[in-house]
Amino acid sequence: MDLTAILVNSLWAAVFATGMAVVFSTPSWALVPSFCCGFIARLARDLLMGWGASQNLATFLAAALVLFIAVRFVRRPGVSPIVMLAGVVPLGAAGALFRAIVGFLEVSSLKGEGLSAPVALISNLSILFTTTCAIAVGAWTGYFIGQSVRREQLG
Amino acid sequence: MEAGLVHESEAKLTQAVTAALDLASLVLQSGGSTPLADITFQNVLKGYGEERVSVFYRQDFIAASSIANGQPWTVLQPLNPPGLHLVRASEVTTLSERFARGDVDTVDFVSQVERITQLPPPHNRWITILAAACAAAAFSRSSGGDWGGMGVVLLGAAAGQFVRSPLQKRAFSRWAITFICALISGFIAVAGLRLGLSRVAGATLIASVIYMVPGIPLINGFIDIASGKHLFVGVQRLFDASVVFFIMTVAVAIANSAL
Repeated sequence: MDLTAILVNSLWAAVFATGMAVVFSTPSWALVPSFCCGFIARLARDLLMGWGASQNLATFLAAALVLFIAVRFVRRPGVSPIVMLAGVVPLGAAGALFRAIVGFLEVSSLKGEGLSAPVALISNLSILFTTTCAIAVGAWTGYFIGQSVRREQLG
Repeated sequence: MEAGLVHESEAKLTQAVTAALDLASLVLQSGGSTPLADITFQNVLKGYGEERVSVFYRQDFIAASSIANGQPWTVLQPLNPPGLHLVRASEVTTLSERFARGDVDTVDFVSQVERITQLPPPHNRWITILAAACAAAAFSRSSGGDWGGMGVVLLGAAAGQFVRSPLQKRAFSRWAITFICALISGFIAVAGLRLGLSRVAGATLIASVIYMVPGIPLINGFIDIASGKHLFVGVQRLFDASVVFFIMTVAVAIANSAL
């Protein structure tokens, strides 16, 4: 496990998350939390994968962690965790989706040795589906755990 | 669907349902998920003291129905194409929670809705262009791209977002905007690759259009489906997001083959 590479990639993911947060119209005060969430999301996923977790499990746990942190520690009154969604975007399988669609475009004209491409196409679609599911379920889980902990404290 | 309660005051019920539909549609049109819109809808009804109203969500309208004075009735609220204004979605949800708790009275509630509806975008055009360019450049680096590719992507995404903003303001079709902007960004990325500025084609091409990724609709779609109550609208959102991805890829493929 190359810790330096993981940290550098996490930093780039954090910049990506912050930029996308602005494009997604996230309020200015939420940009620093978005940066932190993007960093933590990628760092957690890469570390978990480095320790042997599967990509889906690592993505699920990273998304849950990010939403938990967003709900639990962003104390601004009346703030909804919707503004923290930008933080989980770096976990997305955009690359797999693009490769899958390019595969679709190319698969009709394949001949000879290129016939192994449909396997890659199915693989990319599978990665896309399971990764997005892992993000959604992880985000949902983190949100509810965070809300439950907050309610217990208020109660 | 829940029905059966005969309301004595039809006018009061109509006012409650209209306000609830207005706020739920604001959430959906601002980038909120359907469960969030539903919570907002129920909160507003609770604030008005009305609860026995059924609601059905689709991507193009919301339908609410109930029984008033023994007569069933349904109200349809058309929805504009979904946009992104997370500040507005957040404020609407918060306001509905306060209204349901009784922290805000009806008069104040109406004025607050007016204020939230008029909220300007939180970032100006130039900041958004800079953010889109930086996001795309950072994505190219985190996906294994080189420094040359990062510069090309920075330029391509900035040019695409520069064109995207005015097109969005003129209410062009979302799919047309995506195609035009992806084509512009794709052409710049391909030109950079042809000029030898980058050796990592995949990361450069994908990153050049990543600022248009429909991340929120995609995640909202899965949240809708995972909620177990909004399968239909969730599938619609996923299909819509997939079409946007497809258009982006086709535009990049055209740019790649044209140069």
